[in-house]
Amino acid sequence: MFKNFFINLFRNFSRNKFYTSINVVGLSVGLMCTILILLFVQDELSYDKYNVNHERIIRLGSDFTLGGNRDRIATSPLPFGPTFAEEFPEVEQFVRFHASGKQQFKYGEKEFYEERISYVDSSVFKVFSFPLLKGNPEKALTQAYSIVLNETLAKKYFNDEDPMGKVLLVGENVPYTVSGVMKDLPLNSHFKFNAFYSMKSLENIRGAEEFNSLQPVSFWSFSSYTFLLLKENTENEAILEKFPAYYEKYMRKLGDQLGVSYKLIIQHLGDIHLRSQLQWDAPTGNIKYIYILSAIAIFILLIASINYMNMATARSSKRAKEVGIRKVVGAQRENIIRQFMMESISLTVFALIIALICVELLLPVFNQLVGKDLVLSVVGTPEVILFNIILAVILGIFSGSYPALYLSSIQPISILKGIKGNANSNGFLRKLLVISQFTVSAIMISGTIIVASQFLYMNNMDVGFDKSNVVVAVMRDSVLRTKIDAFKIELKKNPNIKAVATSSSLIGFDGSKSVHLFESKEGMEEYALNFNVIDFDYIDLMEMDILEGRSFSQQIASDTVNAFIVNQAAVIKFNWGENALGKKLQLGVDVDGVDEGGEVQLGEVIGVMRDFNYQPLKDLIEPMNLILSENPNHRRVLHVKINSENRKETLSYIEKVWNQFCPNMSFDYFFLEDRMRENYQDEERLTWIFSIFSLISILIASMGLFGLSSFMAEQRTKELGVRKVLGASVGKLVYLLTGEFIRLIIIANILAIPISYWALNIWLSDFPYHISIGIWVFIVTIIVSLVIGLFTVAWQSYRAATSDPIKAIKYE
Amino acid sequence: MINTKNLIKIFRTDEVETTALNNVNLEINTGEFVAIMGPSGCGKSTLLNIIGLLDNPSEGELHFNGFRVEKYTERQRTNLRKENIGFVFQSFNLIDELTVFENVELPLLYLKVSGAERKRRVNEALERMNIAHRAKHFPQQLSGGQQQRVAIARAVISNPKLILADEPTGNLDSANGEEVMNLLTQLNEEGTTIVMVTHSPSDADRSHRIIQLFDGHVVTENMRQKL
Repeated sequence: MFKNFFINLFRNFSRNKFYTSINVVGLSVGLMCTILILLFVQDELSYDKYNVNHERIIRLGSDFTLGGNRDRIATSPLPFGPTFAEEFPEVEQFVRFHASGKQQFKYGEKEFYEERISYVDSSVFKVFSFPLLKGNPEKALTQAYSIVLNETLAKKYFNDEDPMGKVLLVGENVPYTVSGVMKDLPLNSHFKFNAFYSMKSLENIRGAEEFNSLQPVSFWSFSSYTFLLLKENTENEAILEKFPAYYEKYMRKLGDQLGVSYKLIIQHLGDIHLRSQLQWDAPTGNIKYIYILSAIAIFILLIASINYMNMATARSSKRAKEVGIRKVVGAQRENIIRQFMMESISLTVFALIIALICVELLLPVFNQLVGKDLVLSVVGTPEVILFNIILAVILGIFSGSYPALYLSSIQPISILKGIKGNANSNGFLRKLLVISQFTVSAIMISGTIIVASQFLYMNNMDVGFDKSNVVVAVMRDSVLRTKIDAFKIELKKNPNIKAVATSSSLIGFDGSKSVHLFESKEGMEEYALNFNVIDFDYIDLMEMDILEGRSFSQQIASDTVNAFIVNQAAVIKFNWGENALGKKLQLGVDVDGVDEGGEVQLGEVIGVMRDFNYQPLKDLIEPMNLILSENPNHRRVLHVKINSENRKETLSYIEKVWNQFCPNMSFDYFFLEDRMRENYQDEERLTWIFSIFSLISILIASMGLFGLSSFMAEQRTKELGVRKVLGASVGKLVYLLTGEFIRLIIIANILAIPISYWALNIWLSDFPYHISIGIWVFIVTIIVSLVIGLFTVAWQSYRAATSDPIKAIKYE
Repeated sequence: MINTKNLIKIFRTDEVETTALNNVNLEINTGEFVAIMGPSGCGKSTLLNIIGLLDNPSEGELHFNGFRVEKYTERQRTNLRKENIGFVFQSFNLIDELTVFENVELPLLYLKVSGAERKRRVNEALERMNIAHRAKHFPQQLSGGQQQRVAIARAVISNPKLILADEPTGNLDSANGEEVMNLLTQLNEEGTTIVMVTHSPSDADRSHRIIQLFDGHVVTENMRQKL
């Protein structure tokens, strides 16, 4: 029976190569896309789950509101770790990560800048599954100035030497002893650390008293990522319920003085990658993209399986005779259903095999596109393979169900009467199927247009300053910072260098916030305001616009003491209206009996600058304050505006001067423009993914349409012949054949408009600065669909319309 | 073997109601060779389909081997049919995608006959129809006469008690038609009941009895005595 079935199947396929290849190609490509998307989704969902304890690990974040300004951040105060362990019996262990910036590592001749290093508590290897290749997990991070490197770094500095006990010089030549080597963290980890310093090192740097201080002010500095390992069967709620008492004990007094309200945020480790939307967080994925991609996968599969249904039912007249004969000689209905189901399942399984081969071949390209390192293997991803087999079978059953039910219902008597299965009897269903295919395609086309436009919009939006040709380098060497003025003069000697300026933080990236007091009708009010400490040349270099008042001036000595320039958003926030100039503003607050740590600076507004996007465009422009300072400690980030020509020479000149002034640390730079573009990597990726997959879906839909149109043309050969004999022109006949498809495509597009409009608006609403969806998007979509549809249908129709009518009439 | 009482078949479309059979009373005995004749559209094929359990009558009784079957479901009819009835059509109705061997084998598959047994019986039937040398060919590669011999082989493969033939020589030249009629006659002589619809008086001459239909009525029944 099986042999007979497969022989029949093979002959059926090989005799209908055209239809079979449309189906196989469509299903293969559909399954291929699905497998790729599935691998991606599975990887995203697997983040941090490699930690054996992941279900018991939580992260403490902070949600606080100060003067109407709410911040939700991923960090928490340094004392949270030890005090939580003490106050909450539910806590088994705590681990704090205190990130360190980019630093230079030196070992012998080798000297590189290293990123992604953190001070961490020694319990890290107990709580997280970071296997140590060398060293004792219990002791590796217990000593001050000990460091655990990952395999890559260990190799980089020590090659085949045993790194254990070797000394690395870090930053300004601080010696760290290597006390362990850990495996590189898996890619599906939200942690991206390359090395850990012991937390004891930070304690030494800060001084034990300050580091371990339980002074109120320590609880209001959110500098570390605190993770807790909870005891078995502990709910987060247990911690949340008891937190008010904790707050009362450690935080309330100063909090009330500062006028801050505070809420604890608890996140499961497994939720951080996809569901965390906190500031100061590691770059995370986005659950929305998971939904979007899954929808795309389903769409593509739907289109491919509709192709199958459409062609199978359209061809039903050809198979009707076979069904009739089989029934006459004794086949029951279920025999026929089984036969057609097995046919479609075999076809999808065959398509799956092709799809798996394609995935294997395309994975490197796809990995590049999505920035991952996905692998497809029976060993590594058995569930993906298994899922796909199940998927192929379900797809087969789904695609085969309609043809099977329809064909098996054919009465044997009809073939005896010589009636051929009537292809038009299911015309309505076929129309419906074509409409759904093109609705999906239209949604994909308009999605692509919108995503691409939004990406271009963000990339090209006037951010309020000139980001082009600005070389940025962080001056980590404190000696260099003291020599900054001489350094600047030396740099400016090169004619290709237009300007040099410094600031405390990098525009658009690591801004700082501090409590400010601003003048209002009720006196001075508190607000947590972003600020950046700059030098005289900064505003000119960045080409920022001063709308009112003036810029900082070297001629006015008091500018370094009591002058502020605020942005428009601040003027609006503080309700200053037209009279912003001269308003009083104070950086920092004095709190009785508490040393706030930072300096307090009272002054007035001398200028209002046009809003500029100092944060990624995914955030709204917040109020901002620029402060002038000549304190070398604030002049951390070097900006050099250069000519667009001779970049290479200019860069090597800067490097030469840098090395003169700072022999200890090498010149490590980037272009501001490049860094800002990286902000939109997600959107850039999505644009590509959308474009590629929507192209694929349109392609599959067109293939189906092509098959269907050739079939319809064939079906109507006789009708066309008769019409032609009666005098119809070729144009009329082509219209007759294409008109219906055009109508269907237009209907599909009209149906797609509200769906796309709704879905895309949801997506766009994530962006504070976004394009609006104009009617043109849908017009373009309709035109694109029509052009593709017409192109697909026209050839077959023309061929049918120009064929010899005599042959057509003799047909049958 | 077959017995009909006041058999009525009415075809209905939205607007038209056509009475294809009107009060047909028939009796066909085991071993008989009956020819049904009549002008086009008189209901011959409809009668054959009802007797062949491919269709149910609108009214009246149909007895097959002593069972009343006119109300049988499709499943019951199929079960009865596949064990008892073989069909031969004017247009052969072979499946193009299957070889001669596989076409003949088909009824045995649905009867769940074992592979070895199938092979034996198919080869035997093909030998008998003198078409064994074409076993691996496809229907399109055969002449009309050869195709009809394959169809007859398929009809007899399950050893049915009844063979229904719908103008079996209609698409054949006289030589091939003659050969097909010889085969049918031989089968009848071996005990198979045969009911044949035909336009050809010479084919009808082979039968024991001719039933004349006109507008759905049986007009005459001529017993023919074989000379």
